[in-house]
Amino acid sequence: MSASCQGRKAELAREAPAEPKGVWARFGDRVYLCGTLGAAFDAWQRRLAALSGADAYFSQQIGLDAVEREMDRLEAEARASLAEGETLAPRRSPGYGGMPLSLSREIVDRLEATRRIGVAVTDSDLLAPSKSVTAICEIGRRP
Amino acid sequence: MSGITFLDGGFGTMVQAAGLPPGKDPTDWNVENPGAVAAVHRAYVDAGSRIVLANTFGANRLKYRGPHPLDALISSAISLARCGALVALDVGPTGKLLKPAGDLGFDAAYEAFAETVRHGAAAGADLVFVETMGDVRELKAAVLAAKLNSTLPVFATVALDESGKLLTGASVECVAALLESLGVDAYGFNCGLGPDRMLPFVERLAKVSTKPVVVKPNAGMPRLVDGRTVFDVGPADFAATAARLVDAGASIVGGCCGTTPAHIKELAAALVQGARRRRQRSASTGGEAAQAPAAKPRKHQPLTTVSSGTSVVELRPHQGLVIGERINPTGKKLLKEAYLRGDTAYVLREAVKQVDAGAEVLDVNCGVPGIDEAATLERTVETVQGVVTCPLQIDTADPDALERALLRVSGKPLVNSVNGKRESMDAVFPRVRRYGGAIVGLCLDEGGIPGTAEGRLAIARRILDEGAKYGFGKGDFVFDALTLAVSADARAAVVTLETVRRLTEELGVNTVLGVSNVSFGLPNRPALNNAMYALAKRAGLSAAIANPSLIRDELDPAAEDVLLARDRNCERWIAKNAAQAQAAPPPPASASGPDALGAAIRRGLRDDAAAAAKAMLGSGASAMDVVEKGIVPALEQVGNAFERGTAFLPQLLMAADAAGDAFAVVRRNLSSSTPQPLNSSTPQPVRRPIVIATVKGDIHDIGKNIVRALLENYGFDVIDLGRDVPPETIVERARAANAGMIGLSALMTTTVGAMAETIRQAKAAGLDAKTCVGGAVVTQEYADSIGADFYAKDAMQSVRIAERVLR
Repeated sequence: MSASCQGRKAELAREAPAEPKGVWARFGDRVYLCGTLGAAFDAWQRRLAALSGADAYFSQQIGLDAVEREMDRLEAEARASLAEGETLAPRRSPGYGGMPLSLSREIVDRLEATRRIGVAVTDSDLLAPSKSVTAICEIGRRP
Repeated sequence: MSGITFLDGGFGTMVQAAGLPPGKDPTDWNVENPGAVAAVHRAYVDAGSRIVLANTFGANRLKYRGPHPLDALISSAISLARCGALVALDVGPTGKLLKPAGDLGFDAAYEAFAETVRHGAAAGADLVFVETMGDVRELKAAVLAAKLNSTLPVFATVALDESGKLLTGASVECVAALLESLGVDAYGFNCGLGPDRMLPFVERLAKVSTKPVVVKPNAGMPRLVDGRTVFDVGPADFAATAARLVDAGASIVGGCCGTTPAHIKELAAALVQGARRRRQRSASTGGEAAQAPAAKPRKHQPLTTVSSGTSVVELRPHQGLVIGERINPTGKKLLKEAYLRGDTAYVLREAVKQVDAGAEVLDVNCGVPGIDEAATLERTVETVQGVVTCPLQIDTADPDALERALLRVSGKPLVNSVNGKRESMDAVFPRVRRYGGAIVGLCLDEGGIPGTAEGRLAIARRILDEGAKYGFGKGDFVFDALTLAVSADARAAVVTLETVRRLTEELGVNTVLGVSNVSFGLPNRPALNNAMYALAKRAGLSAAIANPSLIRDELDPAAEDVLLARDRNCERWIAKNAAQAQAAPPPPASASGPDALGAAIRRGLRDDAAAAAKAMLGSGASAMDVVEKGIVPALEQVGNAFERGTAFLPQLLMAADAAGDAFAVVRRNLSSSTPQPLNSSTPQPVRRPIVIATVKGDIHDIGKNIVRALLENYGFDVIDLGRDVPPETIVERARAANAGMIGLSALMTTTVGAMAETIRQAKAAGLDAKTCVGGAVVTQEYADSIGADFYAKDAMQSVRIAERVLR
């Protein structure tokens, strides 16, 4: 990426509405996680896209980075809560690696993520707002 | 304990304790375990609750997925709750997000709530209690459904987060503006927070609310422990803190998640005790009655508020806030065409630019002859409020269009307008009463526009009187004193300014003006408009409908002379400004070659590219030269570099943005110098447009937006239909616009099916437009399998395909 691209991206990263929210909880041997940048981020992106394709692109990268950072934070919190001898496998998200997209609904429902952080599942199993992620971590035991 | 009404506490908490299995919907128990439901209600009534919420929180068709019919669940719930207290039909959220954040349409949400309300009213509920709302739009859908489908009182509460906002970002004041305007009977907060954290927000609400304040806090903050939500605040602590909410102004009090009959009982006891202590203290000190809980902080109603889904704007005299006037097709050919073609991109650009330039409210007008104004206004309102957060001004003379827009607009809009004609007042007042809003009142009537301030004030008074019959007060109005051209009547501005001053001082109302009419027919209009704005602000003007990029509070003495009728026939003004216009300096000749333009585009420098294009035109180059020698070769170089892998997508997009700005300069030049541009939106020869959309079910549109930007900046005529667009709409729009190509985007495996369906319908309809598909999960194989003509692996390739198809 050229210097001016980097500069513009950094500028946008500073003005992006950044209030990531997340919830996680343990259900038996699994941890469910859900994080989001909220509706304000989507509105900001659409606003940028109205005037500039480049800004739309940068905002996309900024959003993906930010929501993954929030998921990292949640995963770290969950890991810190484990009992002695338990291990947490890296998170996997519905829609990737053979995990069905429809699993998102179960994660959102069980975490009450709609009420708590404003994430809902659309009729086509997408997450809304668009910069939202659901994931599951399996809990294992050290041999 | 007079003046305080006790609600119940948590319901889910109680039925879980009674054995409701995890994951089981408590709504089912209305039919499957009625005894347990009735026992919870009875326990609350025994604890002192005077209103109980029936077990209907999840009883709406969008949320409930169990086996029982809704009417049976709701009617059972209402009768189970009837045990000595008033029974509220509990209306909770749908569990889905409304557009633009999610995929739920406003109408679908409204219908779902309406169905629940009708069942509840039929079952004999005493009131409707809308609760735990996290989105102002969903709140509006629920409250309107309650008010329009029953005659019951309506209470409404929202769930705040720790920053005192709804999940979608609305503030306390924003919620208040909407709910006051919709005329609910009581409102406040529930869930989300414990009583201590709710306190500052109750204090804020009490300052702006004219209705009883409702609170139903949680028993502290929730924690998830191994899949169960737990709350930590016990009855005594809860009661002690919740009592402070009453001191802060709450008068309808209960609890939410984690609270139990014990919490309510303690709360009632604490409030009774507190009241007794205060009475004793006031008796012993000889009068501290003002400290009793009934004495809430003094309420004041802000003069006029308007709101969006997230923000609230207050209008005050002398403020001169700017209402952006640019989303109005009068005299704007491109906007007219965008409306007729259903293209959203043009409107979005105008909306964003105006807000960036300082507009605090945006006027939305879709009045084009021959257009379906109601449908267009509805669509435009939804589009604009998806990208900007400021309140809107709904600008239409068509009552049907007004009604549909009022229903769907987020928050409390300004309505432009009512006037003193009987027909206008009969059409506008009932609709605004029903759906909420502040109203612009035009000082004209059947007799036209009075020539005197006295005459205009008389009409304003009549509008106020008639509005009062519908319950509107002065704060619900903003009066337009009406601006007429000084070129036609030298005293036009004097009368307008006097009207503004007297409306402000004598009637105590807010005022608005469309200032730019004043300069009609005269040279150097911006200076006159600015002077009018400056003078009107001094006279009391609250808001100006104007172009936010141009209007400034700037008083040129010569312009002032014109407006105050001291320049006879505007002679001095015309002499001075007409001469100046002729002596305009030639544009600078520096950096005027195609090389400078090309360099600016390649480097993605938008301002430099626009300046270079302007300079080329200024030094005599034709529009075609600018395009063919400057813009196109530069885009070609960057595009080639991208395809070779030596430039990357962001550079390509930045170059395209810069090229787009250069194109815009050429377009402006064409439309001002030749009677008819070759093509409305590009300087290229006439070419069929490209219709582009994200398919039904898919709300991810950034990829599509990037492709749109690139195609436009490469000079194509693009009609952007937005996202989540049904196949029928795409086919209909493509046909109407005689599109040469249809571009479809889908992100997920679950939505590519809609892509296949769109192509099937396009072919079945006999369209000859080529179809081009793209998106994260789309492949060449998939494109082939659904019969798409082209697959574009990236944005640049969609440009190449468009070049092949359309050139």
